[in-house]
Amino acid sequence: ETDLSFNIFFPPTHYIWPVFQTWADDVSKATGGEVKITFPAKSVAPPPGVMDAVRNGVADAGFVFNGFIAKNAPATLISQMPWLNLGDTAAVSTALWDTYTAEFAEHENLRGVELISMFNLGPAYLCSTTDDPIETLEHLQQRRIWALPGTIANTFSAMDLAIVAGPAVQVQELTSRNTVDAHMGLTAETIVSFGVAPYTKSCVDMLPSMQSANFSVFVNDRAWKRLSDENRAAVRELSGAELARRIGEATNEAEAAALTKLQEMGVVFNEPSDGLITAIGEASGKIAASWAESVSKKYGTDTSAILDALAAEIQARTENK
Amino acid sequence: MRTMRTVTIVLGASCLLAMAVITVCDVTMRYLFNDPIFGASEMTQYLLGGAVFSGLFAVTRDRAHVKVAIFEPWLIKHMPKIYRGIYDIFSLIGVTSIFAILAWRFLDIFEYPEDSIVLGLPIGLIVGAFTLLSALSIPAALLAIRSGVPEPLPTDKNAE
Amino acid sequence: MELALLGFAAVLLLAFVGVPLAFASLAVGFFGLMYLRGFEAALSVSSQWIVETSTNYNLSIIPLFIMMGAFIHRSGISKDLFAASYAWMGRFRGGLALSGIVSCAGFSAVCGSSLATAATMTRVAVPPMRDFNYSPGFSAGTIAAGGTLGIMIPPSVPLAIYGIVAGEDIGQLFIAGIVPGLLLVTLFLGAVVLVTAVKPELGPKGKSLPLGETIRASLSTWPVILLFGAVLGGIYSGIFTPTEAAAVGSFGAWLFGVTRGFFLDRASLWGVFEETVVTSAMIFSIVFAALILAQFVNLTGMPYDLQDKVLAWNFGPMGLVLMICAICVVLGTVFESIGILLLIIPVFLPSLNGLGVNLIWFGILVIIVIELGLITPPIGMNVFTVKSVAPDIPLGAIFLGVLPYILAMLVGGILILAFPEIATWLPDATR
Ligand code: NA
Ligand code: NA
Repeated sequence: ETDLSFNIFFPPTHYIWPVFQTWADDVSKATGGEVKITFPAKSVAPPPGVMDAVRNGVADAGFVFNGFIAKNAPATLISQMPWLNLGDTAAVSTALWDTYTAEFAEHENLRGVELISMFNLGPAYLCSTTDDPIETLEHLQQRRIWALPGTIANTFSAMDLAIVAGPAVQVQELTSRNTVDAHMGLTAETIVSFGVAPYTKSCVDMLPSMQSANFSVFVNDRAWKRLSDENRAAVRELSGAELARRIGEATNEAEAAALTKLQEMGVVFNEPSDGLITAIGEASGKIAASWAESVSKKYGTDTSAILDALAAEIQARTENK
Repeated sequence: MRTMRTVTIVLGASCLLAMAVITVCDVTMRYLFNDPIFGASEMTQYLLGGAVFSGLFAVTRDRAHVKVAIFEPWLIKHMPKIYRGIYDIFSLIGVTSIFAILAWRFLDIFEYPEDSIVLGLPIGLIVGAFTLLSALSIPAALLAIRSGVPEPLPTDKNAE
Repeated sequence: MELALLGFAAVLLLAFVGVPLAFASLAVGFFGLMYLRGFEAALSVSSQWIVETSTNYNLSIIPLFIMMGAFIHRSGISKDLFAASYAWMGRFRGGLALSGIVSCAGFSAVCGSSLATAATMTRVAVPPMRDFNYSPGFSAGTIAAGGTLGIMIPPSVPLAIYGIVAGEDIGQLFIAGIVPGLLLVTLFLGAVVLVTAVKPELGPKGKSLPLGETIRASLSTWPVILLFGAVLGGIYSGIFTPTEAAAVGSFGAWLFGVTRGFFLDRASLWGVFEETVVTSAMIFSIVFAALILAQFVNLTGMPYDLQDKVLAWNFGPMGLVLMICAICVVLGTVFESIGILLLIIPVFLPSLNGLGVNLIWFGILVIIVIELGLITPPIGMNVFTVKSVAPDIPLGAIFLGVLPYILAMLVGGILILAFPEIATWLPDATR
């Protein structure tokens, strides 16, 4: 019997816990009880350090926000590029896994760990915490905006907006104290679970979403090699696209529930003006293009074409539901 | 070494001052000009680290690390040399360990660089600076052993 | 579970023989992690938490509030506070003790540390009490107890650390400390009245001052009221985050000192920064070492074992809270505040969360327990502090002198246990 400890840095109340617990049960069943996955009560490392902790064996497995490993593994960011999420996160997550393993896995070696799955969280929302909704570019330019670090903060920074960029757990404090009067980058679920909902008055209804955060799931190399070939195959079978699908569907459910809750709380969803979408589109397009260029240069891949293909694949999977 | 104590405290104080100034400016800019300083909280974070590791020298030199003094009167009466020696040796081992742990992290990041998430600062350099500052506390510990100055109570410093 | 307990025992043993607390925790945490997961894992965890702690945005509140306190206690405000309280209450039996408590409360409103409050107020309040033939033990005990208000009345460094450990909003915790702080002040004043009623010779009457002088003395406390109002009001009304409030407060405290002719020369500024830098480095080394130890405890699986046990005993949330308080009281006889916060709270946090305990209320309870530890023998840091400033008073006499306040504090703790609203209604009202 092999015990694998799996690190989750989300709080114990997050909907991802039961998904991983079910996955652990299924792994145990599929391996005839030979692989037992356990979860430390709290994260063994601060969120940016999870991959380091797993590589060094503090936990045997875990997942990390890809923004934290982007310096060494830039291609993992692919599904954080703008306008990919059409509202079905399971489609994004499975397409991410299939595209990444087909196109980048051979180029991009994650030191000391074995990549076993990837997933996205829900679409990011742009919301107003004042009574006035954000409809036009001018509205946005008048705001102090909390922006999720990464693609969003870079885009807004390029648009010369007044932004505060920091970890998502800060948003409750920032919005409750009027330090910011808009936020961009939280999912509907995090708006509710981080306690930002009471301060949120309206959100811009834009799909495809400008961004959704993505994560890599991995196992320590030595722990992975300790498993027998059959057990490794069994874990692979249940991870990869399958785990991505499970987390994606749980995300879809959690997002739907959170949207209902937000509407019940009186949060209005308003249409953006064409000018707003165009302005964000232009700025984020440049960010995506420079990302694609740097990945192409590093690995010799035709990254723009791969990104387009991923977008088409996500659209197909979203529509086939 | 008197100079080194002054230099590290000035360095730490500069970090603290910069922290306070950036924070006050951020608030002012935000309310008066609707224009917060980009990455202010991240600057604060790394300045805090600078202040903490700068202060390590003086804490170690002054023998001011907190200890649990429950048996102190008895120990001082019956085995003053051993009691003092335990503090000094563990103080030396402790600061050396902090240096070694940080140095390990520094070498690791040096090989696989990371950037901070908001401002894109090279984390390797920042951890390198912390490592360097913590290295200074090793001679501080040795000096504290040699000088034989009795440690002041932390409360003596709190008072005027 | 056994492994974690063994670890605790090892920390205690090392600490008792004189190893600095930070390095006792670091050693046990590191070797424990090494035993569980290997050398590299121990290095990874230690380095992650050392860097994370010393660059944690929320913890930047600690040096900033230490700096604010350092500016404040060097600008002579403590004398004004005592003079104002004395002008009102000196004329009554036990009046100087009453004044001592009230001026400690006032000083607590701008200082985040109990030790600093006790040290500063001892200088100001103990000599006049002795001039009026107060019992030395009672005088010193009064200030040792009054000093503990420093960490209940906001700002408070231990409450900020609790907020980090428990993941609770520091601003909300500060707001939550106000009413319990006032409750404690009231209970302490009640204790003075009772004690001097039974034994009038402990605290004779002081002088009665004319009304004009009373009012003038009161008006001179405006800086404290203004600073407290700016810091707490700013947090309360949502203008500042706690870190920003701390920065603005330090700036205000410096400015106030300057208006009185302080901090214009290099030497006095040096004193402030020296104190702030050294104290901060001292606190942070304890904090990161304790977090490394907490990771070792986490990886032994103790939190789950404990939760299972608690659920099996079926004491419910109140049983668990009482049990933790009891453990903290016992440890509080020995450990200083931060050690308790960082050693005990992380272990129980998952269980408290699981049972739905209100963590703001629980934080206030923990602070009371810590305050108790600061004045109970054998290790009562506040008592030691007062003793170090007034060395001629015997330690035993001071411990006897704080006894009435220990009882008052117990009453306060029980009231907050029985009526959680004391701690929760003010923060709830601002949500
Ligand atoms: Na206080
Ligand atoms: Na005690």
